[in-house]
Amino acid sequence: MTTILQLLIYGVQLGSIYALIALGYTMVYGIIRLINFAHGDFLMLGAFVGFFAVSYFNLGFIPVMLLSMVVIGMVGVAVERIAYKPLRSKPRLSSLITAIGVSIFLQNFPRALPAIGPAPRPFPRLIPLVNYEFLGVTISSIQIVMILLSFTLMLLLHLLTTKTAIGRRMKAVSFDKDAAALMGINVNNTISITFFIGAALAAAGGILYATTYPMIDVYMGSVLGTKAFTAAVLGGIGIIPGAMLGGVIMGVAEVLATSINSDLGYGIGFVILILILLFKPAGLLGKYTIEKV
Amino acid sequence: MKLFKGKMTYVFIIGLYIILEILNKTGIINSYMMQIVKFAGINIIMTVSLNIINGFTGQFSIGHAGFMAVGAYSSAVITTVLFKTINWPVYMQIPMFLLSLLVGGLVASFIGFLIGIPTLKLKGDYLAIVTLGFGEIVRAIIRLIQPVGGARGLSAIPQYTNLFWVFVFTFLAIYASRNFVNSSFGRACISIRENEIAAETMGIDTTKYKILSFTFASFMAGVAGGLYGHLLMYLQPDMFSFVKSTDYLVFLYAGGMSSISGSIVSALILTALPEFLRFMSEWRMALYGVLLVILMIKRPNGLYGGKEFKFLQIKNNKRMLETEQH
Amino acid sequence: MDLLNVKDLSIQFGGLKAVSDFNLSLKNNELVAIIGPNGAGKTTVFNMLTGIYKPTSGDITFDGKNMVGLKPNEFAKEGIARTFQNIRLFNNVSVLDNIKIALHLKVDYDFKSALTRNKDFLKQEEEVEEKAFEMLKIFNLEKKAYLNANNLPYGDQRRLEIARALTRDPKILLLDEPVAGMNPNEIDGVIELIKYIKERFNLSILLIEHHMNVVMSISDKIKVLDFGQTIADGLPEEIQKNERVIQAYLGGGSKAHA
Repeated sequence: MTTILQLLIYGVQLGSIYALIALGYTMVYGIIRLINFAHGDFLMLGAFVGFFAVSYFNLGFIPVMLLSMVVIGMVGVAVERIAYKPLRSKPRLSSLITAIGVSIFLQNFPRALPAIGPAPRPFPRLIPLVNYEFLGVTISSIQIVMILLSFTLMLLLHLLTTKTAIGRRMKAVSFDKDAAALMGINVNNTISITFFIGAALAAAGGILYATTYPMIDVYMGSVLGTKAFTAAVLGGIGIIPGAMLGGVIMGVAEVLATSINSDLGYGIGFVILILILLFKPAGLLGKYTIEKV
Repeated sequence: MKLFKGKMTYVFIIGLYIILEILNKTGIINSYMMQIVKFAGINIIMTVSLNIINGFTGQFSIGHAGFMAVGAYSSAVITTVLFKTINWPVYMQIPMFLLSLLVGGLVASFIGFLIGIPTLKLKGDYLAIVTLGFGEIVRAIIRLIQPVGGARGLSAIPQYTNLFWVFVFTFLAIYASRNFVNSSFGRACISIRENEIAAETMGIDTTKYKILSFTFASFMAGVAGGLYGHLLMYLQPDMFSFVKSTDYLVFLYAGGMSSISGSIVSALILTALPEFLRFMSEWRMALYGVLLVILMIKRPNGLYGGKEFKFLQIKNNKRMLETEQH
Repeated sequence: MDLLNVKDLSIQFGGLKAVSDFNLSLKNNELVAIIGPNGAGKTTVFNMLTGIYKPTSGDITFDGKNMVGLKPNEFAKEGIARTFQNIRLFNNVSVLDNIKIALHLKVDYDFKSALTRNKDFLKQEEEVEEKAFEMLKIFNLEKKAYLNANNLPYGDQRRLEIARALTRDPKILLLDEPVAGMNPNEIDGVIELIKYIKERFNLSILLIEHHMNVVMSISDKIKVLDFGQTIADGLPEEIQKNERVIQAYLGGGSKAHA
């Protein structure tokens, strides 16, 4: 029993990272129907910004998080303006290839820089490691911080999208871009803000991930991004609570499956996804839109 | 059996083959470059087959490397694990090689058939993620199968793939695809892409044709996988990750959807491109990414969107003279 | 005997009953119009009669055969064809190919024959091409055979959609607002076209239309729907004078006069 509980804690920890990244995917998809394949790389860049912030400026955990989120948020806005905006009215598939191109660039440009390079780097420990015993399970300070921080960010995001004016604007643009523009909403700005938030969340996820699994390299975003994307679809792509739910499910399932067999853990997320899509084609919380005949 | 229009096409293909062989034998093109040529052929088969699903039938399949993996491993199992053909006399090896390719294609097409089934309920992005998931699941499963080497990989695969076979199968793939498209089977698939509901009301069983397109395309991908394995002489599941699938997506979209010619050209160029950029060493992949973005912004429909080379078109010239053009 | 017999056809979407107890007996070579304000359920009836929606209750009997629960392509095979309110052509495909696709069921070569382009295949393809051109000639579209469907002017697109629907020699044709968006000249052309095809192809036709002069000039019988229910049913002259019908249109704010 305690082992299950222990695994659950690990699962929620991993799941909360997936959830943070999945949120970015789902927000971007919701607003411009684009699967941003480069999203996982925002996570990686966030981790590296954190790495350099500590190496050069010796900043603490919170400042590193904030700095990383702001910097990568701006990178996200830039990427959208440069690579995705020109293709907004074009076939969605072109945006997809562009996203792949952006991802290739974001991975390989830092790789070519001498300061970074292909070799993995150890991420510095920013949170003192203290283990607590609780109900027969061990929970570390790092895990507590991670889970709390992730859920706080998700809660803030939820409040932002449901209670604020900017959140309403984002919803309007995601329903109907052109109608929103006619209502006087600045669509470009709204999309930029969405990208900023999504990328910032990914960056936060990157810092948190690096805090738990301290080796970072330029390709780390790839696999995580794919899993987070799966989580977003599992919960219902475009639905924010869905991304959170999907992320946690993915994390817990992966940890439980890995404890049985490490290779099993790799594929389990996809198996769950396919099973869920068979019964709920739009994801757990998704709404399937029927084509009008 | 009417083949390509014009004898020139055959002269060109056979001539090209002969020239390449001569250049290789005389050392002008070294074996490394020859391998690039063979990869290009395999990539053409993969891209053309992906075009059947994504371009002509309008589905959204993004795990194509999974079919390649299934074909590669199945065919390698025939020649190494099951029959240990490496010590056989040459005249026995070739039929076994061809058999292994057939097996690779069939097993891959069976998997394609299985994947065709979920497509019935899913559309667009959901279909995409399922196909991506299947690709990754294939990879995960192969890692677990110890008799084929699991995560360590399968080695000592005999190198049966030579330029001749690459030419033969690339030609067959292009030919079969072109004929498929210009038949009622292909037209049914195209109607599904254009307007699925209208297609249904015209008596087309859209379910059957979606599955058909997956099965046909995955067969070709399986054969390409078999060629791939018997060229590299080594297979490892991580070679067939989502990254490999994205390669073929890029080839396909850059070349232009629903254009077989576009698929051929872009597979050729994009297989060779990283080699030409080699001088840039670490910067070449970054540049590749930038080039992709620029290409998509400038030409969102790819290089050849919807158009075909002369030798691939099937036209009734007499009739066309009597009609309006544009 | 009726060609098409529909009894108490109803469909419910969640709490909304979109169509209630629709009845129809369609005979050979008969043209029945279904009219009513927007949202009355007319297209929903068409969707049920082509298998796109499954009714929640009621019967559809076509040529003696029970049709409820069949898939759209099976409806098509039996001989029911339709056009759509918002034209559904195969846009990026040539005019000729749009017709060839409709001839899909007339072809029986197998996959191997198609991939090798053998004699049987070539012969059948030639026949398909002949038949397709014949259809285009009837509808005056043969000169535009190789243009992409979405490059045609609007009137030609509608004609092409009708041509495509008739390519398989259906017994019943369902026309959903065929003159929407047309000027009076074009409308006259379509009226003549409908009369022509009814004779030439010995069709029974179900017509949804808002232009009353079209409806009145070619219908044998008219049914009026409002909020899913049939509020009137009879000959054109009767419907014109029917109080409930006039109320429904004036109240609903739709075009009641030409």
